[in-house]
Amino acid sequence: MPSRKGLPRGSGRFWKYSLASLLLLILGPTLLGGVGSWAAARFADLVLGHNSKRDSEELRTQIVELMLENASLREQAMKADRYRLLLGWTRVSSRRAIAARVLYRTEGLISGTMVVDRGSDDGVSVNSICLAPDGLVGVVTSCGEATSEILPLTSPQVRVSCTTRPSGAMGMLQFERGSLRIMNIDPTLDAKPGDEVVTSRFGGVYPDGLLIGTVVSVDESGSSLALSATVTPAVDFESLGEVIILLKDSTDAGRIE
Amino acid sequence: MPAVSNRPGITGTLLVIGAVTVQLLLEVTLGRVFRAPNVLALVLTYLSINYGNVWSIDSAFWAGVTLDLLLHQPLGASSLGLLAGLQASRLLIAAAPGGNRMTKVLSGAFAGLVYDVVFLLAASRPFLHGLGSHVLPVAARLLMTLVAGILFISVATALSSLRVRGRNEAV
Repeated sequence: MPSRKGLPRGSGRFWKYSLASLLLLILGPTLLGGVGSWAAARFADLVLGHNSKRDSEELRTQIVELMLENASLREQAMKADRYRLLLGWTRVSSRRAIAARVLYRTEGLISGTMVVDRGSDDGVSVNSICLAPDGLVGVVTSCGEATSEILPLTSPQVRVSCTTRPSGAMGMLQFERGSLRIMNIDPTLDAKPGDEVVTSRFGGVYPDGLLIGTVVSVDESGSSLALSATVTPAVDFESLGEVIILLKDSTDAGRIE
Repeated sequence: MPAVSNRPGITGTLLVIGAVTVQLLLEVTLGRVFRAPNVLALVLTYLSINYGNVWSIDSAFWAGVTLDLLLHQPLGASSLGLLAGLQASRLLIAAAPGGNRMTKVLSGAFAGLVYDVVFLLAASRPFLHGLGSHVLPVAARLLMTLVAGILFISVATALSSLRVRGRNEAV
């Protein structure tokens, strides 16, 4: 049946709806997404009221505060882990211990000393032993009221009476020719690479059983019959930030202040 | 057969709603990619023949949009396909004036075929790149639509003859 313009009836309608379908096809996803978001926002306004903007501002502030608090707690948790490790050392000792922070080092890493933030006011005295979670660090050589100076094992002035495990070879540990070495090892005792080196009970200054490092090689020491061994220290002196100091007093075993 | 421009009223509306529902159920249960006969195209062709283009074009658009929304298909693809199919079937009927019942079924199936091809092109991504291996199920769907159309016409004829016989007996 022809229409007024001579076109078949429904032709205009057909093109109109075809165009609408094409538009829907092209803009459909955007329309649905946009309309959906708009409807959801209006619905939220309707149900939750008009305070949503203020609430979101408050929530944003709270998120920032919680993030800061979270970062602080993370840092404290890391410190707690570290102190727990340090405490683990003191459980084997009957001596009172305090934790200390390394403030700075003097005269280079090898021959220099380390200064920590604990002094005689905290009970630290000369010849107090300094430890890290990984092992022995050194010995206190001088003491102020609030700070102490520690001579590390890597200093040539330090001598430590030590023994190897499990071979049981004994000797004197000292820093020589750029590395830690155990001198005067009895050749009849079978010290070999991989042995652990710990403090011996004959030293007097150091309590026995503190880990020093690992034997990497055993050498004949020149003209004498005794052997010597090169040792890798267990402690990474470069990254040392916190230490524990064993006090001479024997009260309050394993307590950390 | 010339199109009659009368309004189908509530019967036509119910017929379209029923066809959309049946099509939806068939597509959901038998598989959405051309596994079900195109009942909607048959019904819309029937409406076009009996009630004119205006009403059937409106129905095709809205039924297509509804089907797309319900089946999560690209919005507008079904309505575009149905409109194209309807237009194609109208051209076929115009080319074969005075056609019998089989012509109606064939025009319905042809509308379904055009719908499927247009739908494939419109719903494909990238746009207009849908003609490939997806065309193969279209032939099977065409056959199913033909069978459904013949069944529909047979049942309608049987019911019509029963009604006429009952009326004659009453007279």
